[in-house]
Amino acid sequence: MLPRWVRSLDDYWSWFAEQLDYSGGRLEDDSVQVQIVEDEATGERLALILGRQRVIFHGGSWLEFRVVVDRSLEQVEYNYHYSSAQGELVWRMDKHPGHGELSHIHRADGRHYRYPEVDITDVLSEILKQLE
Amino acid sequence: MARGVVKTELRFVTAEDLRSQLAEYEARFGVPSDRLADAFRRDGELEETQEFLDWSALYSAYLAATTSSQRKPAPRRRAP
Repeated sequence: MLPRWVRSLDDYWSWFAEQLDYSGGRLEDDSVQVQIVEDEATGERLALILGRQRVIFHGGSWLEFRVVVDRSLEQVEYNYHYSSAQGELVWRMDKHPGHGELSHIHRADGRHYRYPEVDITDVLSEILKQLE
Repeated sequence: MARGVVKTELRFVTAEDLRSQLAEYEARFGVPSDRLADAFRRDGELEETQEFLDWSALYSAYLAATTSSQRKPAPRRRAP
C-alpha cells in the first residue's frame, strides 16, 4: 500500500526509488530510469514507466522490474522478475492482459498461477525472505 | 547501494511518442496493439517473450496516458 504522502506521479517515483534504496541490492545501472508521459500542451503528467532494469542482490540473484503507473497511481501493468545468480527463473510476478487473470505469477515449474496484485514493497519483502 | 543516494534518470515522452513506438511493433507483427497477444499465441498458449512484455507495457502506458486525457469532464453545454 502506498504511504499517504504519495499523492502524485512525482511522489510515486520518489517513493519507488526509496524502496530500492533500502532494498540492500544495487542497481545494475547508476540510476532508476523513469519515463514520464506528459501532455505536451499542458505539461500534465499522465503516466510513468519505471524500468525495465535490474537490482542485484547479495549472492548474485537479481530482480528485473518494469512498472507502468497511471495518473490515479494504479500500477496498470508490471513485471517483477526474480532470478537466481545463474539466470534461472525463481518467479515472475506479472500484471498484464493476455491470460485469463491480469495479475499472476510464473513459477520455476514453467507454469503460471493466479496471484494477488503486488507492489515493489511486497516484491522486495518476498526476496528478502528468500535471501534469509 | 548506499542508502539515500539512489539517483533517478528522467525522460519525458508524449503519448504521440508512444504511439510511434507502437506503430513499429504493429508493422512488424502485423496486428494492432489491442490484439497484440494474438501475435504471441502458439497452440492457444501465450508465449511471454521479452518483446511481448515490452509491447504490452508500452501499450498500457499509452492507454493510461490517453485515457487519462479523456477522463477530463467535457464542458457543459447550456440548454437551448
